[in-house]
Amino acid sequence: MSEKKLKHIIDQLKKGDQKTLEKIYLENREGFINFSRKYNIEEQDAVDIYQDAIIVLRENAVNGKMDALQSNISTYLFAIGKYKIYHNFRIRSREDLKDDVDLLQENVDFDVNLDEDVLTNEQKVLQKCFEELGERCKSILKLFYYQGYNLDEIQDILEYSNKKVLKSQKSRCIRHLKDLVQKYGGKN
Amino acid sequence: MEEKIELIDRYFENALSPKERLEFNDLLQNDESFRKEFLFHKDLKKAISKHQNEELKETLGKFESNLNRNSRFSVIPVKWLAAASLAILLSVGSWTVKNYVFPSNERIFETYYEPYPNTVLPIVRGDEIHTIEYRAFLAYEAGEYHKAINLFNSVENSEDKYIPFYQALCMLSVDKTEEAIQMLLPLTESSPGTLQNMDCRQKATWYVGLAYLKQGKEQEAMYYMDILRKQNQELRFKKNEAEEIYELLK
Repeated sequence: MSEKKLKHIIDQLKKGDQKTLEKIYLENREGFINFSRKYNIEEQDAVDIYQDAIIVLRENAVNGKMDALQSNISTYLFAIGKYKIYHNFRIRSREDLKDDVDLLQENVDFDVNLDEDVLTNEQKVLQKCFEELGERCKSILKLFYYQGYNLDEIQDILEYSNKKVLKSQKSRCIRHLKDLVQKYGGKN
Repeated sequence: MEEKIELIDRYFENALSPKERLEFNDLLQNDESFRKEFLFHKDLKKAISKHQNEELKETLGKFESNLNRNSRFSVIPVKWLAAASLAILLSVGSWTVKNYVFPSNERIFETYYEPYPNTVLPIVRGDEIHTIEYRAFLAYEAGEYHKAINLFNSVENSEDKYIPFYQALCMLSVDKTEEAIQMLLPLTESSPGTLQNMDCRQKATWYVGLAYLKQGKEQEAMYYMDILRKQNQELRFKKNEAEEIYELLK
């Protein structure tokens, strides 16, 4: 994979391009499931782990952790997946994978974010309220907080005539969100 | 407060100047309302992230169900097939029915055939000068098969097994089926596991089987599908697909 092509793929991942994601998903799926068989992992479990690995892959792309990537996407994806297998099975205290030193070493260079994806109650309420916002607000907040674009960039992407309008739109969204949280929070 | 929001925005934009950073930290420690506001935005980031991941998980579920729907004849319930065949029988006649219920070799080929993904190109990544091999794979990935065939022909050390393998797939893609078969046959006899990321023998076997199918040589196709469907547990390349084709040809 040429560097230019790799960079292009990572950019597409950052933008959330579905076609790119689907291509990566389909190209590596069978290989990963075959790999999982070595550890007697059922196909359904392997698919679950594989999907989680894809999610981590995209998150890492969005967070800029893949910007300096030297290897190709498949290698990176497999490293995440292998790490997840190790991680999951260690929890179930499966000794056979624990000894797989190679597997661990292979992952040393990969900055895999395996933070437990558990939200606090406040965050859960916030997620629910976020989902109730209108599309406009969702786009702005997603672009800013998730995809990490700055306000100037968002102004271009969403074609705002000037930054001030965008800023006041964003603060209206936040206010609306806070109102919703209040409504939900009052019930707790 | 507006100024404070500005500061928080700039934090998320990764754009705080050293001076602003000091101010930011100071407010965080000493200004309760600022701290609360900041934590709200931080929680929001986390909540959106979770929302995005859940959405993606759903999308992946769709990829998965498309996968099960698209590439299989056998997924269509027999009942539906029977109903469909009856309907068509009444309206169009039996010739069409044969095509639907018993797909032609050509249709089976088209359903199952796709060029094997390039797993070799990453090896030549980083070459400043674009080698012929590199250009051949670029053409292959772009679907420019005639160009790729010519380039593969000019590759030095072209006896490396993966070159004829990919070249054969180019041939197959441009209807030079007999040439493809002649290139693949020796590979089906080759020793296993010497090719990066792939066991050449299984893959060549799969494509030879498909190529024979394309030529309408069902016996030969069945012979190679039979090898694949009888693979042992560790080698399962296209095992299920081979089984399906074998059943269709039987």
